[in-house]
Formats: sequence, structure tokens, C-alpha cells
Amino acid sequence: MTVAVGAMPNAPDPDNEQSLLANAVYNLFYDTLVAKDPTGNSVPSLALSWTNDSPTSWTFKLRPNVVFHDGEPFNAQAVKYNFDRIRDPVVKASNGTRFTQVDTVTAVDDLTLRVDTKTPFANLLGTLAWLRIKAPKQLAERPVEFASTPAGTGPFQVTEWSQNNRVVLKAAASWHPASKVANIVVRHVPDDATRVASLQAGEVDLAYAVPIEQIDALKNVGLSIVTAPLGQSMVIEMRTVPDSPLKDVRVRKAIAEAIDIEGIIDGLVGGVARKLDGQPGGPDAFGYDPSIKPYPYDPKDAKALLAQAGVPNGFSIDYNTSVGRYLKDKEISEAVASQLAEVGIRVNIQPLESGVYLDRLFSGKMAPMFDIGLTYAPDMDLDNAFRVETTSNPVQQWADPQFDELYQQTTQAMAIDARKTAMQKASAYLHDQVAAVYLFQIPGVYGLGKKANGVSFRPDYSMLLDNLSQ
Amino acid sequence: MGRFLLARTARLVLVLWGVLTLAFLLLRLSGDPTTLFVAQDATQAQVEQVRHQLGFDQPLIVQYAWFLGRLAHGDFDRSLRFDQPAITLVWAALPYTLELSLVALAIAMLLGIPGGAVAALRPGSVIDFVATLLALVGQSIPVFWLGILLILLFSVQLRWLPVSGSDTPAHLVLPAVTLGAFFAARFAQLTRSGLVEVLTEDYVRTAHAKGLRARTVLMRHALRNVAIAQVTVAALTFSALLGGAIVTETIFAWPGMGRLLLDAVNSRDYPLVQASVFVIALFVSLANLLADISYGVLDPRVGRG
Repeated sequence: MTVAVGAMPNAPDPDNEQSLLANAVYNLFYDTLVAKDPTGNSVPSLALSWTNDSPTSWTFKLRPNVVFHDGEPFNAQAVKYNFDRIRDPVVKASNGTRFTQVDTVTAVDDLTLRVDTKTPFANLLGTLAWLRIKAPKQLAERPVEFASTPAGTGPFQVTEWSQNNRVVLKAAASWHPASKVANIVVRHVPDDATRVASLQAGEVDLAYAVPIEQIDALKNVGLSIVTAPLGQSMVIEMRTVPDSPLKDVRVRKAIAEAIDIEGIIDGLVGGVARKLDGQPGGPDAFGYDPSIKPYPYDPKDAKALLAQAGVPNGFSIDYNTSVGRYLKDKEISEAVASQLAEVGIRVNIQPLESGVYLDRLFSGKMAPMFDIGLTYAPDMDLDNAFRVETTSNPVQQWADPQFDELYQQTTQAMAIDARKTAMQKASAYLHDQVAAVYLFQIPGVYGLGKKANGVSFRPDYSMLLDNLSQ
Repeated sequence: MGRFLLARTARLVLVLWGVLTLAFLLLRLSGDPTTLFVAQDATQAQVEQVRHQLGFDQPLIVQYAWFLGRLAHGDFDRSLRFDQPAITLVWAALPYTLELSLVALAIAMLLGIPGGAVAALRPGSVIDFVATLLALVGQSIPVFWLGILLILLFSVQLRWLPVSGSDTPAHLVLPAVTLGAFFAARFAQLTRSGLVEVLTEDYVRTAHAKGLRARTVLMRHALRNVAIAQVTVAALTFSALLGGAIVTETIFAWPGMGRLLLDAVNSRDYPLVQASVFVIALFVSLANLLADISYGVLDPRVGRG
């Protein structure tokens, strides 16, 4: 099966990779200790079970009889190696910063691993999605081999890694159930139109990121389109940190009610996105609160709220939008601007190129309103989304000690149910305070040729190949 | 000749150093790339840590000194994204770009020069009109549009050629034609206007009067005199192809330097941008040097006092 993606992972080494799309390739041959089910709960993967012995200590029981693609045995020592490596200051892995709370990792025996943390690390399970388990001996002793045929424990094995060009994999003998697909070639086709043409010409069986405008055209020639929500929320943040009319919660609520989310989804995103329920993640995220209802589209009430807040004639506000960084980001900013104009708010759109956007984001220099694609995959946990709203976050979006306290509680509630409750409380607070307007979960749009019929997709771009019809 | 080469080589080194310094300054003035290498939810302390690790917290002059120091050893530093020496990545992509550029140049010259010559021989005729029109259209069509169009026709509809990639020689056809078409138009126009002028010169009339066949006049006398202009355009075209194949390489997923450079710029991968710019500047300078040398060969008047 041949798959075309718009961007490839930078390297076989996942510890330096931030991009969500990289999971499309990594998940084929790497595994993590735990996986996530469709509601954000952790389920066994390379670890069969886990317990919290104390708030700062975890014990994992590992899956037996697992072998890496290069023949090395998978065991607790291998996992310890991976933990140590990602946090090694010499290696400087960018994903190492996610594990700074981990203190020591001990291989109690071949199949038992103990992880001790410096402070209670309630989101360890979600964060484990970033620790893809690599074959220790290969990585340490045969780096050249690792660079071309990295060994993992996944259902497929890499036989060729051609930088930014293609990755070739074959079905591997692994603990996963046997795959119906014998070979996969993932090709780098950066241009949207070319990727779609490749699908039409039968050169690839599966194309990632089909442009919304092409969906109907492809369906008309007998190709099928699958859309699946990603663990990435399209959000319009409203900053309360620098002084602006947004400091008043009534104003923020007015903005939320003046934006027609469903209209945006139908008009700009082809109707294929799942609307967010007034919180930064969907039902696939741990911490999702099914009882929260999004604010309705109610421009009349919005105007009333603005009057109550003392700005009956609206006001001017700056809005930074990224361009081409998130699906339809610029178009959404224009739609939002015209919708807010109806209630008297004059939005001044300032588009930012990707590099400048990131610069301003991390130095707290964004305009009072800005768009962001809050990514909570592959963790499938709302921790990341909450962290953006804390006072100490470099984005400096919000400075509310009450929220900081609620967030703090989510990081220290170790029992699953207690943590879920704490997170739902935090979500509810964000909703009540209208920290942001939560639009929709960004959809992955995939084009499938005949051979790929039956493929489904997880919220982290990775493929599920169990239900292939052939 | 020896002194000429020495002087030109010295100039080449100077030009390369200037290009690298300019690239260095422009890159760093456009903002620091640290934010591209940290997790979205990194804390301020973590961002600072990474910034320090990558050396971007040092004053510009210190960074420049390190840069020059490493250059002296031929070290272009490691790519920030790919964790391999930047120059290795560029050398790996270079053959693809060279292949594409040279074939595109060949197509451009093989289509353009005869096309322009034919038009020049019959000025004002239907052939001339058609050729001029094609030349105009060829230079006006955006490369990416032509590329997609060719894909839709030859790959999707007719299934004669592959859509993208670089695995077989067939994969080279569409990208080379896309790139070559634009420059073919340029060559055609240049050849036509140059020839029209030359064909009215006295020595051409003399050649005809001597009884030489029209074709001999054309090949042996007329074309030789437009050759210098052709060579100049060929060198400039080659330079443009090296750098400007970016769009074509992206559309056709051709793993060349242009695409590498574009990705590197988008992700602020300084070492990779610097290494790519250096190699492009090197080849542009070499192409110009070759062109200069060829003038001496083509026109015996050059180099004589």
C-alpha cells in the first residue's frame, strides 16, 4: 500500500519531533507503554498494567515475549534506557522537557519497571505517548543502522528511510495481530494538488490532507473520503493579560455568542469538523466534560451583553491570525471578523507568517485575540490545553490564580477518577470564564483508493489497518 | 590565462564569503528559531534552556565568530531539524537539482534556439507569429500552474507519465519540461531578435553573395555571432534553475536542493539554509566563470588587449 503525506518526520529519532503528522509514520513501527482508547482512557500497549504505589511512584508491568525488529529483547532495561535517553542533557532531545518531573527509572526485574517522580506527575500516562520505545542496543551501538532501518516493536518494520523522500516498511513479526498489509511505502508529496493527482492517477492508495475543496471532485470519480477528528482544537484565544475590553467576562461571552461556529464549519470546512463543546477538547480527550454545552449563536444576546459591559457601540480589537498553519486559519479569521462586526466589534486582522507567529506566541506578544490549534494529541489529555491558560505560561494568555489553583489540583490528583473530576472542574471554569472561543476539532481529511478501503484513523494521524476490506 | 583564473578564483572566494555573511545576518535578523524546536506547552524556563543549548542567546558578533571559525574547517554545523551535518544533506540533494537543471536547460536550448532561428529566418510570417506568441505565453505562465496542468493531463488523464517522485527516468520528464518551457521561451526570443539583427549585417550579405547555402550561412556565421549572448543567457538560466527549481521540486516531490532550502527557510533551520545558499552561490559562480572562459573561446577578439 502506498501512502502520500504532506510532510515527513524529520528523522527516525522521535525524541526531537514535535509535529503531530509524524505519528502517521512513527506509529507504524514504534510502540509506547500505554495507548489511548477513543475516550481518552489509557489502555495497555507495551505495558500490561500499572499502579500508583505513592503519589510520586509508579510501577509498570510489561508485556512479555516482545522482541525489537533487530532481534533485541524488549524488557524493563530497554524502557529504562529510553527514559534516560530522552532526558539526557547530552542528547538534548526536545521532547525531554516533557519528562522533567521524572526523577529515576528502575528496572526492578525484566518485566517490572518503577518510575519515581520528583513531584506528583498525574499526567505521566498521557505523556508516555511521547516516549516511543526504540531498540537500545541499535541506538547506542549502531547509529548508522538506526538512521536507515530504525528498530521498534510495532506491526511494521522499516526497511528503508530516505530522508524527506520516502519510508518503506514491511509487515513484521511482532506482538501485534498479523497485518493484512504486507508492505507500506510512505511518500513525501508536499504539494496538495500533486498529492490529490497521485491518488487520482492510482499512484498512491491513500492521500493525507486532501484539501476540503477537492472532496466532492474526488468522490465523483469513485474515490472515498474519510474524515476523522484530530486531537487538535481550533481555538480563538482571548487574552485578558494586556489591558483591553476583553478583560470583562461579559465581553468575552458576547464574542462567543456572536460567532456562528456551525456556519463556519459548514461554510469553510466542508461541514466535516466536529464542533467543540465549549471546552478545549472533544470526547476523545481525557478530562472532557459531557455536561458542558457550548454558548449558542445569539447575536442579540451578544449585543445586550456588550451594553451591560458598558460598550454598547462595540470597540476595535486586534486579531493575530496564522496563515496556512492550521486548516483555513486565515479564512476563519475573516469570517469571525465579519460576524463580530454585526455586533459592533471591529476586528483588525493582522496575519502572521509561521515563524513570526511562533515568536510572538512564546514571548507573550500576541494580539488580544489570536487563533491557535491547541494540540492535545498524542497524549489525548487536556493537560496541554489547560497549561496554556496558566499564569506562568510563556504565551501569557491569562493570569487567573483561581484557574492556576484548579490546574494545580489536576496535576496532583493521582487516582484516575479524582483526576478526571478535577479536570472537568477546570474545563467548566474555562467555559464559565469564556477564556476562549472553542470552535471545532480540526479534521483529518483522507482520500482512499480501492486498496485502502476500510482504513480508519486515530486522532493523532496514525492509521488503523485492522479493518481493510481486502 | 593563469593570472585570469587566479584573479577569478580570488573573486569567487570573496563572493562566497559575502553571500554567507549576508545569509547569516539576514537569517538572524528575522528572529530566533528556538520556538520552532520546543513543545507547544513548554515553560519559559524550558524555552530559555533550549535557546542556550542552540547558542541563540549569544550576541550576534559571538555567533558570527563561531560561524567563521567553523567555516574555516569546512564545518557548516549540523542541521537543527535533521541532526546531520548540513552540508551532507545539501550534497545529497545536489545531484537531483543538477540533473533537473541540466536537463531543463538542454530542453530549453533544444526547443528555444531552433525555434527562434526558424522564426528569425522568416520574419513576419505565420511561423514567426506563432513562435513569438508561444514565447510570450511560455514566459507568462506561472511554473506551478504549468506543472499541475501537465500532471493532470499526462499523469491523471492519459496515465503516460508518473505524477511525482524521482525513482525512474520517466519521473524526470514532466518536471524538466515544466522548467524548460519557461526558459525555452526566453531562448527563442533571444535567438530570434539576435539573429534578425545579425542577418542584416554586411558579412551575411557577403556570405550569401559568395554563393553559400542559406543553412551554411546560418550555422557557420550567423549563429556563432549570437552565441555569446546565448552563453550568457545559458549561464544566467542555469543559475536561475538552481535556485528557482524550488517550486517545481515541490510540485513534483523532486528531492532536490530547492525543496530542501524552502523547508529549511520555513523552519528557520539556519545551518541548512547557510549550507544550501553556499552551494548555490558556488555553482552560480562556477557557471559564470565557465561562461567568461567560453567568451575567450567563442570570440577571438576577447582577451586580446
